[in-house]
Amino acid sequence: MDALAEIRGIYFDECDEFTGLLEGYLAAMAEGRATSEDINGAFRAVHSIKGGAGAFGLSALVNFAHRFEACLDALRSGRVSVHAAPIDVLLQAGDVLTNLVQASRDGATLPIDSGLLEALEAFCGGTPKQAVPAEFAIEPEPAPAEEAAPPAPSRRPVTVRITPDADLFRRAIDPRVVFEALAGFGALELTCDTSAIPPLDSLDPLTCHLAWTAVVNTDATPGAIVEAIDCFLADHEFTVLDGSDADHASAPANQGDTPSPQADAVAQPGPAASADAAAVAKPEPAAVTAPGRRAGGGTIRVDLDRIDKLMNLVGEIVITQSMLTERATMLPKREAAVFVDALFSLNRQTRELQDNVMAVRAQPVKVVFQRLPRLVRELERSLGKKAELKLAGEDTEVDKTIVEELADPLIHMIRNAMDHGLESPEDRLAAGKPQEGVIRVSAEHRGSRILISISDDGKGIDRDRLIEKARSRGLIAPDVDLTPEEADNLIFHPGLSTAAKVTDVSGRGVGMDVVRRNVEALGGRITVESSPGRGCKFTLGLPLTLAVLDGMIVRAGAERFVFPLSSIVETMQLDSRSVEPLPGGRSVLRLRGEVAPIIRLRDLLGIRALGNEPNVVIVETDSVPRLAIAVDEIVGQQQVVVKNLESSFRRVEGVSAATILGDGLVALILDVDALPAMTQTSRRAPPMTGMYGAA
Amino acid sequence: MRILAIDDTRTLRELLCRTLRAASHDVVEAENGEEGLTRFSEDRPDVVITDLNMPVLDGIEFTRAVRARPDGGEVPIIILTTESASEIKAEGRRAGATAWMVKPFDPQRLLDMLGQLRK
Amino acid sequence: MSAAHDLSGLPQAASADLQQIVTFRIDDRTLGVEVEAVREIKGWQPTTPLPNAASHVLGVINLRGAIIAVYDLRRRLGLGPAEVSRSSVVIVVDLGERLAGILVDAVSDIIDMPRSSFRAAPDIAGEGDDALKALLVRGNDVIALLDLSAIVRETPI
Repeated sequence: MDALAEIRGIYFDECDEFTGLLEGYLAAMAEGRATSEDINGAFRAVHSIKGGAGAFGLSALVNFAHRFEACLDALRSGRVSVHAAPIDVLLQAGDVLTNLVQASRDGATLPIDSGLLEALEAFCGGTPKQAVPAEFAIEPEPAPAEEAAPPAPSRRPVTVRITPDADLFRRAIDPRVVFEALAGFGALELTCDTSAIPPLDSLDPLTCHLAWTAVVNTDATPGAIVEAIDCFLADHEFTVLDGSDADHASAPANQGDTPSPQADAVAQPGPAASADAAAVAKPEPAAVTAPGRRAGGGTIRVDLDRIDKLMNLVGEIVITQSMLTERATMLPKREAAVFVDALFSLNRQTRELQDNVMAVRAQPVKVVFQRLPRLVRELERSLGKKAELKLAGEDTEVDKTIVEELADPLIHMIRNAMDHGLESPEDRLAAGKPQEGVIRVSAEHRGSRILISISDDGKGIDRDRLIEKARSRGLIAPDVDLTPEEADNLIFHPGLSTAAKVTDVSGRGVGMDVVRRNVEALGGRITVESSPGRGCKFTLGLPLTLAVLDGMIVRAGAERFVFPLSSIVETMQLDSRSVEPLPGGRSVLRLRGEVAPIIRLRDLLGIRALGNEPNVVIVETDSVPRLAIAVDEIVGQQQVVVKNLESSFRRVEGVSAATILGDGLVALILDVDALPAMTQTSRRAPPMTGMYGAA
Repeated sequence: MRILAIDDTRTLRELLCRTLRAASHDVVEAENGEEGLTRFSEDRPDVVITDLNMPVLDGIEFTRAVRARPDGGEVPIIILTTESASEIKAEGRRAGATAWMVKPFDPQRLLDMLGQLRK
Repeated sequence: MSAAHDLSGLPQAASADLQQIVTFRIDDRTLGVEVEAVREIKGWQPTTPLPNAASHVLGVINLRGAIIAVYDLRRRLGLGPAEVSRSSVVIVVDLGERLAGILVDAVSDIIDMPRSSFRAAPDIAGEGDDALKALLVRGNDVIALLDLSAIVRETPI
């Protein structure tokens, strides 16, 4: 039962994939760009959901999928033209199907709008081409047959006439299989009708010229007997006559009382066959793991947990390897050379191993991209705008987690582009642009990152409005002049939304700042380029995985910390001439005409002081564009394995995770965005005398 | 017995494979008829169980292709499907399908049937 | 199979009346934890301190690739910070949802204690007393059974 529950889980996971695919195919139809491949794909997706639902006795799902499938079948076969069909009905059915899958997973029921059911029926021209098979009506635990059935018939002869088509043998059927199935019901008498056999010279050994009459002495119902053999024989190839109808029973069975030797031989194995079946049904425990299973190509389904374990192990190898690298420096030169060579290979192999394990977790961004066409269409309708969505690089792969986390920011940015970026058709015409705007979404690999860009050919960011808003809120000084890039970047500032009116599409407040925060939480970066009147382009750079990150290792006091490389703007030696003390014990660093607040990591994190922190790491944070963090030493760049700290201790402010360095010791990975807020609270701590702060 | 199991739906393939493996059968999997044909030549199964509706090459086309092969006449092919319409069944038989089982399949029935076919 | 099983290669807690206790000493006190909670006992290794953590949180260590937090039992019991020596050990305990290390001076023994010898911990408001679950009386000795979830708590009640 556990295994069944597990497969059920797999089924629902698979359903999610199917509904995702379905959405893409339906979108293609709605846009009138559907190929027969799309229609077939949609049909198969629904068909597969139905098939699995049938296997698990999810009758509501089966019934709905069946009707839906009938519509898609009508399109597929050309009975209904895809250009003339009301595709909206299918889109709606797609949504209902998705919800039904969800409901079935939760064991819930979902009422289905009868209007939709009627629309589906009308779609394929009346009733579905075939009634819902009775098999699908069964509950997950079907009641035993005898419960509802009339009293079991008593033992009596039942006659089965078998008149197979001439091609029987071409179907690789040994007629004995059918006889055995019958023998399972009781003593069998068999007669063979050889009258149709032609003269030997015209005999084709592959053509069946035989017919049989079998009389079974049994208490089984005729229905049960039909069921036992109709999987082998077509309906017209056999008849079952209840023995109580003696006329029928005796008529064909002329030699019924004297069964031929072969017939006997066939009838005998009955018990043996069922014993065999029993042996088959009772596997030896070891057999479950299927010894001798061959690598058949194809795919297997693996628990994410297992892959994560594998990833962890790879992470540990990475650590061990950096441990060895550290040791190598202690070896005498002659030995070191050989050792370092071997390490070099190990390094390469580990990277490769890591890449391969990561590849297992990788998914194409298509999974998310597929949801966008529909979104754009809905927005077109609600905003009264026209847009063409162009997707590129859908097959670019990235870690499953990133794909999942990508959906929200992407959807948000599409909304933004549609709502704020693209102009209304009239405005576009007035601006000498085609009525229909273009939104491009593309993905590509760039080094160890994935770049995703979302661009539109709309009006671009309204810089003046942004600047005006920022000034009125005191975010920038009245006399400060911003470069166009700086002005555009204000769009990421919390609370600055460019839309003059609040729409239900973008709403108020939930703006690009949230998108940026989400992206940065994944270790990514987002940038914007805008050209007034011509459009706007956002570019997301994301790591390919969350399991490892490229870090900059620094030392503060005796401790080492890791900065995500993605948050670092630059590192430099601190020149005391650029430090400007402020009243109140703070100081700032002059940085090419800008100022960056300086904080000392040791103050922030309560670390015992050792050195005088001659280096600074300049980072970019959510709230402070440039923050200078003073540290004792910049140790170097290194890829580190991310280890969750929350699950092994608790959330620690200013720390996003931990990692293990080459010497086996733990180092904390800093949560750069949390650091500015910590400076506020740490001010209460007794100030330490250092060279930058005023004591 | 070596069984080739063809189904494009992972869930059902999984269900099928587990049932068969639990009964000590050697199972070879394929995702569609075309892959099924490759596996058929390479792995020489004793029995084939195939889905009907699949991309690339469906169950009936697969069956027809197997039967057209010089070595494909002897191997029983069971079509496992949600379809129970008799005209499709008949088409399956014309293509050379040995048996037709309607999903939801009853694992015991399938194993019984294999037991019978094994003879 | 498990680490706990290795430890109890010693007499098994044959009856439900007996409880195996891993005992250790801090100064002249004997303390203990139930053997089931103990995953392993390992030597001291440097910890990585955690910012803004309670003073008895020494930091985190790498336990074969897993990160676990290590707690200074002395400090938790109000006996001043631990001096790490060669006999110092970290008892790795299972807190249910996570593992944690408890730094103690030295491990003394694994003993069987009848449950009848368990006494409720006295309700005295001394520092660290909230970290005791029970007192076990053994001849002239009293063994303080630790409440592990209270040991790792950062705000003593």
